[in-house]
Amino acid sequence: MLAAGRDGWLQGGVPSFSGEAAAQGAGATVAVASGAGPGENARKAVAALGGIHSFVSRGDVVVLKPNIGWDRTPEQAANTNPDVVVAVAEMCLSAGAKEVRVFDRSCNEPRRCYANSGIPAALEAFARKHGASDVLRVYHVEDRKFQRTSIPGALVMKEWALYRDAMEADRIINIPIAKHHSLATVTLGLKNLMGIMGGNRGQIHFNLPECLVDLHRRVRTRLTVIDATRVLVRNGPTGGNLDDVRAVGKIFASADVVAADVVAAEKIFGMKALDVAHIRKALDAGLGISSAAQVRVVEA
Amino acid sequence: MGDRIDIKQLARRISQAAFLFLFFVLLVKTDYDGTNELRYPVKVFLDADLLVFLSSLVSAWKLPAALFLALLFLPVTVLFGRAFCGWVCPFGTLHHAVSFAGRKLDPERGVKTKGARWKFAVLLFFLGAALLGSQQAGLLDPISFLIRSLSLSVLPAVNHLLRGLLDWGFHLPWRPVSDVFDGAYTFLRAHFLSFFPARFHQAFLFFVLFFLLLALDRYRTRFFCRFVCPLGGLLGLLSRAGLLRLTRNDTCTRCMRCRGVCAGGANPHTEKNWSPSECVTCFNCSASCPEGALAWTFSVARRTDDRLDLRRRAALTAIAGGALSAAVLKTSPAAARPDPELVRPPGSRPEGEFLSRCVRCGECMKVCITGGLQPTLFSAGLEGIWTPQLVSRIGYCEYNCTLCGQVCPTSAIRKLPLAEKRKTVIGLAFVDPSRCIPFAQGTPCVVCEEHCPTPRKAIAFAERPGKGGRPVNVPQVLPELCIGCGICENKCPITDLAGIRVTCVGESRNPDNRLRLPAGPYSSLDSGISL
Repeated sequence: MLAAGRDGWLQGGVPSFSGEAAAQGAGATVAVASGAGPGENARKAVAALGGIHSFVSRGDVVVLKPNIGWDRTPEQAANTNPDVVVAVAEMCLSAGAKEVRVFDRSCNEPRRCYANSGIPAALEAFARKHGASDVLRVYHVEDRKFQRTSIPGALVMKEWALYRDAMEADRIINIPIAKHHSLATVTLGLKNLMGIMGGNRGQIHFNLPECLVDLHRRVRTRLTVIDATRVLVRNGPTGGNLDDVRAVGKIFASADVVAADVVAAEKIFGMKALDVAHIRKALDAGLGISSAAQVRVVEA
Repeated sequence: MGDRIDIKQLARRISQAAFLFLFFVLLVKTDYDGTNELRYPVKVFLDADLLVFLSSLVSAWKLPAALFLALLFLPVTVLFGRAFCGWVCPFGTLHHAVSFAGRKLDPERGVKTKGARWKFAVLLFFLGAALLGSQQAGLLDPISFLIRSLSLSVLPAVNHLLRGLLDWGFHLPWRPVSDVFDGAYTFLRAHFLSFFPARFHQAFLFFVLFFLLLALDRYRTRFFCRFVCPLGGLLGLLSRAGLLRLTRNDTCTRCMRCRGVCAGGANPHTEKNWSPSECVTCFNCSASCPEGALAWTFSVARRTDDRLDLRRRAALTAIAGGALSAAVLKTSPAAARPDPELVRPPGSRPEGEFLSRCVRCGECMKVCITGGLQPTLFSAGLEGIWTPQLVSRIGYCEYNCTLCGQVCPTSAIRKLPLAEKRKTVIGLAFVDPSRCIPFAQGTPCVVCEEHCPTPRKAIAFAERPGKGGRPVNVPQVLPELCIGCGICENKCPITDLAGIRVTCVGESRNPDNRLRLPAGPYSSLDSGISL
């Protein structure tokens, strides 16, 4: 499926739609940052969207949803880069967030995932250094905090158990890592939000595009920051082989998760949005932008 | 008695409390703690277990170095008698507490009865089985018995009760109270509760056996220690050469208080029949003597007429009985052809060797990070009852985890370096096309492939016509790459019987249990399946 992208796609050209979007004057902005370290790239990308104050207000309870799904190290690029998560947390606190909460419902054993992802360690070190341990919390999800939630207007998923802390948050910031995915072809912002779902998530794979649209229809994310520092291009989403990891060194950010996914799919994987079933479904459903032409790309 | 403190008795009580506490701490710490290598010596009580040492030596001929700690109790026993039983053994301490709670004096208590010989028979029976390479001592070894009972039944039940209480509080409609319960839960989960609720097959059976043994203490003081315990029997035999001896001077008024408080049934009240193999050196007798007539001395001279009530014929019968039992057990069909469900943890030795070592202590099941290691019932034959097997539907073998090999006291499960563990094959996954969703329903799924942890995935796709004629990817297992970890079976979205299941064929430890698929054009690695 990604056969075409195995070689050379990283050199793929500038996306064709940015000019058209500017011409239309509507839609969403996607910032693409590169040239610095992962944390600094994240800061640059958010700054290019107008700064964190456009997304987080003083007193907000903010949930960060990185990918901590796998018992893998940062080098193996199955989980979000810890520096990116720390950078976003730092921005939220600087914008006056009352509390920043970080969690993911992992696929491998949760304690192993948390330990080897390096994310809790990085966040806790940052929090200790800045005396922010009581406002920046990273913790495991617990079964009893999943709440049956109805999804009005759902395509297929009329209700599901969703995590209380995400449902109660003032803002959710989605921080996926860009990866190859066997079923979804690529996993980006739309798919990453599955980490707030309880229950038997395997069953949503039978009709993944519709379920992801339903999930995002119910749970709106305020900002999506896609980590493409290192990208797993084969054997995703688990990986484990460093030969499958490419150093891409980019961060994509947008208020519109669909726009972020559209640009990241094309710029990282050389894939047209219409070739990724769940992105196409999200465009059709009008979750965010409804056409790739509505995207405006800003280099940061 | 009672109005003065006996320093020896007090020291014994402090020792019992300290070792019991240490035992519980180590049991709770028998769990992943954030690093690949456990930081606590969680199996140290088993390492110090002379019965595990001796029976493993007889049955397996080789022992891990840590077990030689048990030899420490040779000089201890020769010096102080069954001090291990009275001062160290956590199961002995529990028996002691249950025996004495609310019953200070019992005229029958200190009298040695004929049943005391049974523990020697139990010991010899197990050693007889060990002669034929069948390690059965763990069934009644006190340390193995206690770890198994607590890990597989009592602690899960305590967890269940605590979780129930905390969940109840959490769901109270008033948020501040709910948050207090939430905080308590977070704290307890970090320090005491298991990370996930532990669930073990046969839990109730283990609980009944545990409860029964404790209940018998109300019939006879330290019933298990006096009549059943094979470790007590072994230490009792050694104690007959013990140097610490009970002596009595002629200030004795025959008040018989010592008889009423003796924990072991060692005849402290008789002039000539004090029994060193029954005495657990609890010092109750000397502490309770109002005249100070009882004293302890180190002496080589024997002053007692007490005899070991185990005649040669009985001893030989016990050994022969154990050997014969082992012979019968080894005729099980399980010994000829592996049960497909018998997926052993990675690092497990070949089955015969495994059964000559495993003491069924349950440490591996307690530590298993996904809870997938379960006690067998019949899949390893009756000979291998309660040995570990991986039940993938309950929990899979985590790719980067080596904990089970780290806690095994007898190296029935070898401690593997992580790189070797990742390559150790414990079974092979098979897709069941009648249940696998893409095969049977023509609907996309591939959750199994998604989770497959090997760097080159052991599940590939083949395209088939699916629902409405649209192509759909179906999973295909690549036997050359599959290590049998079972995460595919565990994560398969079908809630009951998975559409992909692991059996033990292909396991590294058994060259006869292989699936020799053809190389060349029919090899799945060369077949053009998109990988």
